[in-house]
Amino acid sequence: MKLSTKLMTAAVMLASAQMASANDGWGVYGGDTGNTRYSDAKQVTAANVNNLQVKWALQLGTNRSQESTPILVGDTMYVTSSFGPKNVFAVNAKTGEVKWRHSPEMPKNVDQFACCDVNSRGVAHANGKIFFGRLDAKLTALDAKTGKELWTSTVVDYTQGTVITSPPTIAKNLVITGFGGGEYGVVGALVAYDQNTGKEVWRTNTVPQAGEKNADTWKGDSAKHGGGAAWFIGSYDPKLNLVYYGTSNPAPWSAVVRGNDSSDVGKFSNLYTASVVALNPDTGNIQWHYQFTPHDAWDYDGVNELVFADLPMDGKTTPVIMQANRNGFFYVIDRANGKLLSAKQFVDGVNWATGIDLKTGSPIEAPGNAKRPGLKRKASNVCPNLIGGKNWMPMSYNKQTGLVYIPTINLCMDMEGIQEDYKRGQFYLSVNFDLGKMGPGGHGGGLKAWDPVKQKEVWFQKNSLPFNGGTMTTASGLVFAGDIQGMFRAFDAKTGKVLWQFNTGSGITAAPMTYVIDGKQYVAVVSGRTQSIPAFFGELGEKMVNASPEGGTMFVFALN
Amino acid sequence: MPKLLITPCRSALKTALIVAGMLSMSLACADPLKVCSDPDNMPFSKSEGSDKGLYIELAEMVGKRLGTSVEYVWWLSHNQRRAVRNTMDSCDAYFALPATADYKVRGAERTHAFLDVGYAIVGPASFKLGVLEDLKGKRVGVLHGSPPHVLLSSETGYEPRNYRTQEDIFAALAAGEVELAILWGPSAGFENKTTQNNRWKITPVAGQGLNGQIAVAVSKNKPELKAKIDQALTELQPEIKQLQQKYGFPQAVPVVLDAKASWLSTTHQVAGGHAPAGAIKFADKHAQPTLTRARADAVDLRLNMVKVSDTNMDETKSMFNSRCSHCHGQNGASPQQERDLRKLKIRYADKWQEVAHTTITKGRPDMGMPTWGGTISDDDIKRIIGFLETIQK
Repeated sequence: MKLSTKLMTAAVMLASAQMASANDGWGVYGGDTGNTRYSDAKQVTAANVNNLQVKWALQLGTNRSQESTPILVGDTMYVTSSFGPKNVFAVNAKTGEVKWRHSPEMPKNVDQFACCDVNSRGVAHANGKIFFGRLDAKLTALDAKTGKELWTSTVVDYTQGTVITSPPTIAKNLVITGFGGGEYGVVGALVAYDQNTGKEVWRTNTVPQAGEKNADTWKGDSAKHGGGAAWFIGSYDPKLNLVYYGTSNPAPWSAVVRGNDSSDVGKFSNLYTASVVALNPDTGNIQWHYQFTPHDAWDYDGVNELVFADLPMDGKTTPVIMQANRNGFFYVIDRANGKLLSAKQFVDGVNWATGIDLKTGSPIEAPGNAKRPGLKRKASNVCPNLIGGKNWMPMSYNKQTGLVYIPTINLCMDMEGIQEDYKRGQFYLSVNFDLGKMGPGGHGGGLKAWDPVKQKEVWFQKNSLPFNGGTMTTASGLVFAGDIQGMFRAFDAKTGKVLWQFNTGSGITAAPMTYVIDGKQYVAVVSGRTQSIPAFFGELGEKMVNASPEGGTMFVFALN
Repeated sequence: MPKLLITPCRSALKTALIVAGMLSMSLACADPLKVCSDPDNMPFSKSEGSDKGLYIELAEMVGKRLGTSVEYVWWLSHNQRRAVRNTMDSCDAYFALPATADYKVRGAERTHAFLDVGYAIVGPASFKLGVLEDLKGKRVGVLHGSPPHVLLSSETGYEPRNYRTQEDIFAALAAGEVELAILWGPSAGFENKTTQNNRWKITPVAGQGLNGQIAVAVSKNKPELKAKIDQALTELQPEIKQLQQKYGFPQAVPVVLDAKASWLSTTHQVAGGHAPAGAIKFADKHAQPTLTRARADAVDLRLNMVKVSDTNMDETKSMFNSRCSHCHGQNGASPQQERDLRKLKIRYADKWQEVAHTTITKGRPDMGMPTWGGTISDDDIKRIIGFLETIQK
């Protein structure tokens, strides 16, 4: 009997070892290089999630806008705090015991240059090294074991209004990063460094400059400061040997500087802004691109994460990229060649365009420039607003249910195309827009389960406020997500039913993660309400701030 | 060089400090005028150096008329609205902001406008501007996203070349890359005077979005103060003219650039009937720690510094440890990063001695750093900085 128990245990262990070879770790920001935020971990189920309890917590040492998703390497978890990051922690993933902490020296004036907050979304790992981007636009490599700094390279001058807030992408011997600054007239670029030396290997402009291909999609010399910054997370498909990034809005906001200032975009589409670009990591060359919002006039930044799936498209299993774009459309794109396969409004009330023409890939805009703000042309009640149908907070894709779990936002805006950039000492009269208009239904947003093949909503859990947390999903049919009020929840992935919740005491925007060590499944989430974003929303912003106090804590849960 | 203002009240306070050896607020003395401004925004304001900019010199004059000293809350205004939002609560007046009613400043009222400002054409002496069309077919340097950039882009026949900084545009002018430029008048005038040997002709322009007026924003809680500042600004008109002269602000009558299609007309309509819901409505008090920095007297510390070799370092070290180590750790090696004095050089580069001198002398009351000026002699402060030199990483 005893022996058979042992054998049983061995069999179970073997099974769990096999599972470990499945994806139940969390080695990168998005769970895998395709940003699915899906885990094969099954210990926590709909039946027992009710018993989930806090195992340990880590105070991150800062008190604002926490956006990090930790990663797991072996039995060590790596997580960053906001402000710089002020802290990079390596902790024992079972106990929370801090192994080392790295606190980079950060220039005091750096938050002047961060358009949208002083955040950090985490780190990347490869070959015993931890890589992270910094608000001062530097990329640093640390020894994963000791935390010792190995090298720091300057990606770009941060005083141009360029900051790095997201973890880099690992591909082969490279570590690849973009940077922010679409609001400050930078020229976006992706830059690859050698993991061992920190030496720059290639640098590819995401807005082509004079003499480069597609530079003629810009009026006059406007490409020179055209924006198109790739400031969020990239994806990597080793089989296709392609690295994917979304790019931000063009600069300046005033479209008349960049082109026709009209739905009749003509040749001035402003490539490669508000686009996805696929790069060959060996050369840095842009293999293909697809532009979501040609000649953008709304600030429909295209950076949202690009999530991999193998979907049945026209009866054929096709490797695709999915993106829930700020412009309110959910895109399914062929991962190999950038061909648009389908696109559909994933939030209610989208009215700047009635659809996307699948043949040309172009949006069918509302007629007569009715919803396109421009010079001497106000556009009222445009949905979604510039924060988007979804902002950066990551969605997840569960290959068991076949559904995508999207933190959606339901806001509209009035806008006019005179958003001049402020120059110090000069007049600043623009900002003729009202962003805080609730969309149809009057709720601020909510968690939406979306069928990416049928392009259809399956369930929706509303929240009265916008800007709720990213999501994570498991093989056991659960979805985890937090909200701006600070509540962290487990949902039934099929029905959306709330199965469990825990009040973390401060708003959650970061996406959770999960991992298995020694047969035990842990669930981790970082809590700490967003600070700068509400400042754009007037009275609604005050509600967002009042929804929960500031914070900075990582909670790690497990079954008892 | 402007004289640093020391009102009798200020001197009394200083003496009292020396006598008492500690900070005491119970002195019968008018509260200082707390002024918010940008520490690095010439020709308007600067926290350090001999020329402090028009706003700061004016603030000092206003303070003098009010019989009070001036203290500053400095905040870089890369994002002006954010700067105002983050500082307005902690000061009496903001020097200075657009006077137009469209520009909302929560918690503040504006004085009457005391200054006309606007864009200006910068070009060779031979260039004569009459109408907008005179710019047709010319390569014209503009600041990226600025109203002149939008103006020239919205009409046909113009060739705007956009740059991110004024320095880049002056370089492009010098290199012949552009023939003319449209820059912010005061900034361009100052640059022309200080670095360009007045080689460019500066012609101020006017038109919708191209010019306006400047006022002081005064805290709503102090209506009497607003009246007093209004009065002072009226009386100081001749001095303001002199300051404009001193900083090279263009003072000619502006040429009206009348774009065919009045390009900003609807903006004003919209802004008038519909309050822009800019960020300003929402006071996010806790978004950023307020940076208050005392003004450093203009001394070249690197020349004036006590040489390390000239002093008994052991004595200085024990002086440091007896006075400073309870916050900064033994020998300055605090485990708290922001108090670790071994990193001054890394943090402030070749300015670190100046920063240390200012911080020790004036303190950082909001950060818990006491004011040592008056308690420790200036020579001893310099000796301590000499000791700090030995521990830099």
